[in-house]
Amino acid sequence: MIILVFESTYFIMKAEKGLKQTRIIYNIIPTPRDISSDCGVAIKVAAGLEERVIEVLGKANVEFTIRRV
Amino acid sequence: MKKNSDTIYADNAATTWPKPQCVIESMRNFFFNVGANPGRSGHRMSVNSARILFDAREETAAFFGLDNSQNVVFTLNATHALNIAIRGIPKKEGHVIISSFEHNSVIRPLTYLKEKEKTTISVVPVDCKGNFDMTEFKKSFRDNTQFVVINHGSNVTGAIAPIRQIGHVCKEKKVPLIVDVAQTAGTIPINVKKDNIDILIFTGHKGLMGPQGTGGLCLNNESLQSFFHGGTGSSSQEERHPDFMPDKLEAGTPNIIGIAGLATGIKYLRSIGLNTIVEKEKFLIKKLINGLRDNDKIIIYGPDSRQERLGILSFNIKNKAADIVGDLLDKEFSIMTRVGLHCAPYAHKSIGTFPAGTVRLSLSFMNTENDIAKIVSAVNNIADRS
Repeated sequence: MIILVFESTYFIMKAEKGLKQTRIIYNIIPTPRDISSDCGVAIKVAAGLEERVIEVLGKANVEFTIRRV
Repeated sequence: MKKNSDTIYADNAATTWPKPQCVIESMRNFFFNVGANPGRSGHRMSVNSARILFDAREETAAFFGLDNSQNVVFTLNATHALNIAIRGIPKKEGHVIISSFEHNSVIRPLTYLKEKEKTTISVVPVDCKGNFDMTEFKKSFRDNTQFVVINHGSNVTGAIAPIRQIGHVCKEKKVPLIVDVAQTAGTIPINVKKDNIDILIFTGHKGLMGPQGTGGLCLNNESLQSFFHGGTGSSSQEERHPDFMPDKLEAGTPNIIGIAGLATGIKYLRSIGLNTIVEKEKFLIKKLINGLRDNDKIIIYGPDSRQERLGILSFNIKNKAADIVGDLLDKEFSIMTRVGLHCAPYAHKSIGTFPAGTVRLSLSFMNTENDIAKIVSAVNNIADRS
C-alpha cells in the first residue's frame, strides 16, 4: 500500500477530484499516526498504482508526498 | 420558496429574499445528513463536509473566471473579506485610491489605517449619475500607491462602475485592484481575468442567492498577509499559522452550512443563466422607473434612463422624510424598503442626499411584474397625499 499525504484538506479534495476521473480505487483514511502528517486525512491506494497516481495527481496540479507502508 | 403573498420584498440590495428552494434543500441536507466539520476529522461525515467546501470553492472560482480554486477564501461577509484584503497588503505611510461611492466596509478599515499607519487616501469623484471620473483617477496615482478599491455597483443608486477600464489603468500602473462586487455578483457577468481584477470581494447573501454569513475573496495572482491566526486542521504540529492557501486566510471553523447553500445558489444561477437574470432585472427596474418618473413630487436619483443600472432605485418624495415614506410603504402596503444612508454616506454626499438619505427600492429576479405594479401604485399614492 502507499499513503498519499497532503499539506491541506484542499489538496486531498483536489486529489480526489482527479482520482474520481480514473478507475483507480482509493480510500480516504485518517492519517496513520506514525506518518508525520500535515493534515488529518490521507489517501490510501494499492502499491502497484504508484506511477499512475503520480501521473494523475501531477496533471491535477496537486502537491503531495508518498509514504510506502 | 413560497413567500407570504401579501408581502412585497424590495430590499434585495441588503439581502435577497426569497431564496431558491434548492438552496434551502442543500442546507437542510447538510443539517440532517452531513453535519460535521470539514477538514478537521478523519471520519466520513467530516470528509463529506470537506467535499462540500471544496465543491463550493470550485463553483465560486468558475463563476468568477478564477483559474485556481485554491485562491477562493470564504469569509462571513464582504466586510470581513474587505478587511482581510485592505489590511492584508502591508502598508506604512502608503497611499490608496477609492471612489466616492464606497461603502463603510471600505471607508472604515481605511480610516483606521489612516489613523494607525498614516495611510493617505485619494477619492475619485463619481457624479450623481454614477459617472466615474477617469481623468481624475489616472492623475491620482503616486509612487507609494499600494492599491485601488472600487465598488462595482452602487448600493445607493444602482450605478455601475467601469471596472474593466479601471482594471486596465491599474494593470498599466502595476497597482493591485480590489473590486467589491457585493451588489453585482449574480446580477451582471464578472470575470477576474477579463476585468483585470486582482482581488475580488463577494458576498453570498445577495445576488448569489446564498444565506447570510457567507462571502469571500478571489485572489487572482495576488497574495495577502493574514491577521487572523488559529485552527485550520492542517499543520497542527506547528505553532505558526500555515502560509499556504486557502488555510492561510481561513482560521477557525467555517460557516459550512451557509457555504453549502451558497454553492447551490451559484449552481442555480448557472442553471438559469446570468443573461436571463440581467434581462429580467432590467425589465423590472425600467417598469418601476417608468411608473414613477412622471410624478413631479417624486425625485429619482442615479443614472439616466439611457445608462446601465442595477435593479436598485433611490428616491425621495418632496416634503416627506424618507423614514416616513418607508414606514408607510411597510405598514400600509406591506412593501419592504430600506431608508436612510445605506451604510454609504460618501455616495449620499455625491448625490446630494446626505444626511437625510433616500428610500431605496431594490429588486431581484424573484420579483414579479405584479410586485412592480403594486409598488408604483403605492409610491404614487403616498406622493399624491397632501
